Amino acid sequence: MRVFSVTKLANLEWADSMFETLHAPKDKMVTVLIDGEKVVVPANVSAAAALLMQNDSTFRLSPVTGEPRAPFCMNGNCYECLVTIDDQPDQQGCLVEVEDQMRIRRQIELFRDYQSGPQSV
Amino acid sequence: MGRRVSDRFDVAIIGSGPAGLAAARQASELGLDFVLLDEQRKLGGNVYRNYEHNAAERSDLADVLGADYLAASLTMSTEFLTPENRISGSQVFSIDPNGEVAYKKNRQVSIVTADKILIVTGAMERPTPVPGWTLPGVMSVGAAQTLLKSSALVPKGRSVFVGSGPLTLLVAHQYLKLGNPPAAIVFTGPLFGHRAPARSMFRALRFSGRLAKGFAWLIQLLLSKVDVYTNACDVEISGDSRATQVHFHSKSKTISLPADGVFLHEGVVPDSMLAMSANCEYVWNSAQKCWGPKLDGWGKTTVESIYVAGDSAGILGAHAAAPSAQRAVLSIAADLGYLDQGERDRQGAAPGAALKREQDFREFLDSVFPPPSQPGNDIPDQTIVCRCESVTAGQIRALAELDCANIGQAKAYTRCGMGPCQGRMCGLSVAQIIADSQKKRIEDIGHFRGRTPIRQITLGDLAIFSTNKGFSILDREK
Repeated sequence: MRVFSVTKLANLEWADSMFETLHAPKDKMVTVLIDGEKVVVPANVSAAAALLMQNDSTFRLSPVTGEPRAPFCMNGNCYECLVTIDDQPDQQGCLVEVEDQMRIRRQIELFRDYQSGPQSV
Repeated sequence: MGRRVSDRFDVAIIGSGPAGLAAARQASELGLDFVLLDEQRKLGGNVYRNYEHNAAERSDLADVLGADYLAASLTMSTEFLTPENRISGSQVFSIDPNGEVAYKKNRQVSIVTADKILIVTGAMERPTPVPGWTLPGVMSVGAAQTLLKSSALVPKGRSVFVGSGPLTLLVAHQYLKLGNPPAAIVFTGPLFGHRAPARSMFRALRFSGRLAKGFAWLIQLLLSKVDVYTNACDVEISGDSRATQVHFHSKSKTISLPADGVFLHEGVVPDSMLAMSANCEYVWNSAQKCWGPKLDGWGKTTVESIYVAGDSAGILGAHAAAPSAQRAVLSIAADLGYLDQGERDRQGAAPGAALKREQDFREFLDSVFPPPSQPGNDIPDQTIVCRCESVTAGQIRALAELDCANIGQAKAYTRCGMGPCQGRMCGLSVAQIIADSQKKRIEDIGHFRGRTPIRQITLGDLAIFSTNKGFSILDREK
């Protein structure tokens, strides 16, 4: 099985987002932080949807192989949309609605933590 | 003041799709004290997801989603729901035959108790393992439609649909209407589906409206610029860090298509985690190639207090959801002494007849869009079947050749089914691979036993309950 190296993953580039929004001008918008960057998205979309509108739709690296993963089912079953929301890791992004100032993090660094093993506190 | 959630209800209804809403209405009409829980914050389930918002605010989207979807907003009145009997955005992670329903909402765990539990959690798409299906950019067709309904998102660039079944056609049709058509549709069966037996075709004629609708979608598709391929097999998706190409064989040609998004679909199967975790007996449905709960004619499982209705009882579609749920609630009401048996039978006759009609139509659909015929053998060795633990079909097959006796052993040896999804995505494939390579019946291989908690909770959540004597999740496992 091919195992992606962390250095290689750092170079992942997505030219474009996978999805675009058909939001209406009158839709309420909220500001969320995706990996620390401010992004304006329509209110009431899921955290996973907010990420799918961004240029890099990699949500996480498989904790087993390090391969990039992204949502498959958007329905609570596949757990591929796990992201860190407001410092809580492994939240199902497809089941959580965005809120203003919500902090969403892709689980890329979390994978590096898994790889480097237990840390002394 | 409203009732506290720790009080006991007559029935806890889990799921607020068309079955859950019909169940709640029926319960309220019969005077039962019910509570309605759902993982989503909005009513409607998957099929009518976000219908209230889209019907009120997004007439453009509602139009595209279709007349059936719009009709939902008119027929699914909800005046029987109150803040006390509706717990939305709640993930049920444990049910107990004694009536405890444990759920997590806003990161808080709570319990409601009820004399009866009605599971109406609907269906999930049949997982479709093909090489490359774990790449970002590959999703299910249902996922694409969910994004449209709940978040008004459409894919950018070249999208390629691969699979069969009415949903594939419907979503392609909806994208066409939105002016955002897929680049190609790759049917894994014949263009008009497989041929249904004459008897079943004849019965389906009663549903001429639905048949005409399906035909219209197909014809519009053929008249559009969408490339259509049929009888595709050996589907494979490639790309480095995201999907960029789809490859397949069609009519003895090898075809490769560039793709920015790939959407897979091979029908739906009942959601079974909750009832399985409560030890309800499941039986193999060979026509639909999936597990279904063993039920009496009214939705009662082999566990006295637990009922299952709607698509989670067996795939019959959205039109069957309401009658199926109504009958289950009538039976619950009879069990609880609100009705006598005769009254239950009398009131249950009309929904029973409606259900029978839907069964006829489903029999037709199942023969036109049959589930994959050799789902186990068709999965190439290098394909990841268990996405969470990255276990391949080859690893499972190697175990099967070593006489792996059942699905539990495969789990113990490879960790398949032990990741966060708890086997939701790989259970059927793993069992089918073992069955096909050992030339056994899938019934002999079995299914993963869903285990409480069926949703992720933290140790902290459990610790809260360890002090609660009424909560039996901790001592259930013998």
